[in-house]
Amino acid sequence: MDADGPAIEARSLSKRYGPVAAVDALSFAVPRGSVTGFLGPNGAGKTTTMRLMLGLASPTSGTATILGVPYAKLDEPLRRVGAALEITGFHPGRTAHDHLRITCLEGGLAEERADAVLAMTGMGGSANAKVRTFSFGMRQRLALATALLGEPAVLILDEPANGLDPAGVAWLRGFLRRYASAGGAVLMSSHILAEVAEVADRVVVIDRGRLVRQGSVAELTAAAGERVIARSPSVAALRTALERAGAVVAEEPNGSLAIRNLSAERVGEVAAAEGLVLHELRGETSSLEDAFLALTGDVPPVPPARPDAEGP
Amino acid sequence: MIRLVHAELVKVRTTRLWLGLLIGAVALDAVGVIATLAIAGTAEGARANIRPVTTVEDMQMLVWGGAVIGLFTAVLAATMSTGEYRYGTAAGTYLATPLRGRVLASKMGAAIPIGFAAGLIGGALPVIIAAAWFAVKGDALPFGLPVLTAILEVGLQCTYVAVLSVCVGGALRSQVVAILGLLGWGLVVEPLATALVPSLKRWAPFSGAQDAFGAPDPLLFGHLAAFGLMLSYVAAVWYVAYWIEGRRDV
Repeated sequence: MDADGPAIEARSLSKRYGPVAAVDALSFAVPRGSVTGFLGPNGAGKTTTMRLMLGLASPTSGTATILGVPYAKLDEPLRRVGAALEITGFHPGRTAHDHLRITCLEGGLAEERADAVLAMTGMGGSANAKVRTFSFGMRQRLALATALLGEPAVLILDEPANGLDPAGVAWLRGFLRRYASAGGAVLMSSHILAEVAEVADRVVVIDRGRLVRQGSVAELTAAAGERVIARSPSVAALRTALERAGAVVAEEPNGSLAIRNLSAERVGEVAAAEGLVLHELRGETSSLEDAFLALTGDVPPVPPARPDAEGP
Repeated sequence: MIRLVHAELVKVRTTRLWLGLLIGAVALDAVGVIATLAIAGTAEGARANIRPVTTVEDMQMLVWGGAVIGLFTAVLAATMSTGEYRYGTAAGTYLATPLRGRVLASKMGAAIPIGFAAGLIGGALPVIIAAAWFAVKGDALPFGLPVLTAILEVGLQCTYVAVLSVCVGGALRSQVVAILGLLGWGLVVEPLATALVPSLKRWAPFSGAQDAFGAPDPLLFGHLAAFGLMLSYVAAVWYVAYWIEGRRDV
């Protein structure tokens, strides 16, 4: 195993299903001691990429290595890699403890680890309950418990915060930060971008199976640029004046204007020159969500409100 | 490999499917034995060609009838493979053991004690029921080494069926198709085909096993040749399952 290289590495990884390229020449790396967010719109190929990395699906071309070797060649894989995927299921008639005990047997782990991870993930009280009685959030905790059984150096988590209650999300955030600080590597996909922004050091953004961008969260949000928010009772006139001055202007849902290419000072000067009143003027750094949407263009159209629609 | 076989046995034991199937199979076996004992020696029995159980050889025949429990082992063994896909546990299994051939081998390994134990139950049950039957009637139970041998042979037959069925499940993936396929083959296709063309019986995967591990039949191969044939069937289906499973995306 490679002790110095990246924890996870994809090189020109591709997976085709007939004419459809689910993953298309994807290359990226996940360094040790970091949490890497794996982002992309629905159907971008995140789960397929994770399956390819874990040897659950065969790539059409390219390679994926974990700790320098393909997953199938890892010695005692559960001690190296913990994975919680959407596709990972549980037998509904089995208890949480039995599920973990079986995984311990399969992975050559001490059966006591089952009790340890149940306690760690707050599942101790449900150890002997059958999985069919579990909520989605409890299944998610059980998937995380399974991933942590072997105290692995690498975690690959597919939407790990999905279904967790706020306390669970907070626990997960703290756990992943501590895990990365101790030298572990985490690759986690998520649709909750605010959550990724809080926990991840780096992000890999893919769309239609292709790499769109990888880098630190700071790099990504900086690349998306800063913007200025202005609110005025004369929105249309202000917008026209700003566009004349070279700004790219978008109207926010609350009626304020989001302005790029002009500084806050310059926006104030343009408004003053036109004699327009401003109720708000502030600079704003782009969020990870802004950066993500800018990179993927994944903004679904908002249907127009029906005037005759009934209220809630 | 031993811990993987152990894991497979724990998988079976920690769900209730095995218990339901066992109860059903034992009930089926018991009904058959009681019906045989009840009508043996009567006019209906004579019409159905059922001899009264008076000798050790008759008792042997009764024990061999217990091989019907092989249906239980076939269904249970097939679900050992197909259940991984039905419940989505295959991903977890292959994350722990990425070499899929080892997983299939461990399931075959686990099917051996399961099939053998089920076969011993199926073979011993007719003896237990017959002992009670004869005790009530005040008659002596015809019993001897050949009866014990027959119980062992039923155990071996069921072991073969279990190992073969694990591989069938591995090759087919769909639980419904695997179970219906095995039951359809064992209960309909094979009996019909061998009834129409009796010489086919020696090649039949299920009834051909009788001569490898059980009742001698002039239509069948000798013990050794039949045993070799059964091993060939297991090897062939294992290879198909191994080939498919190794290329299957989970």
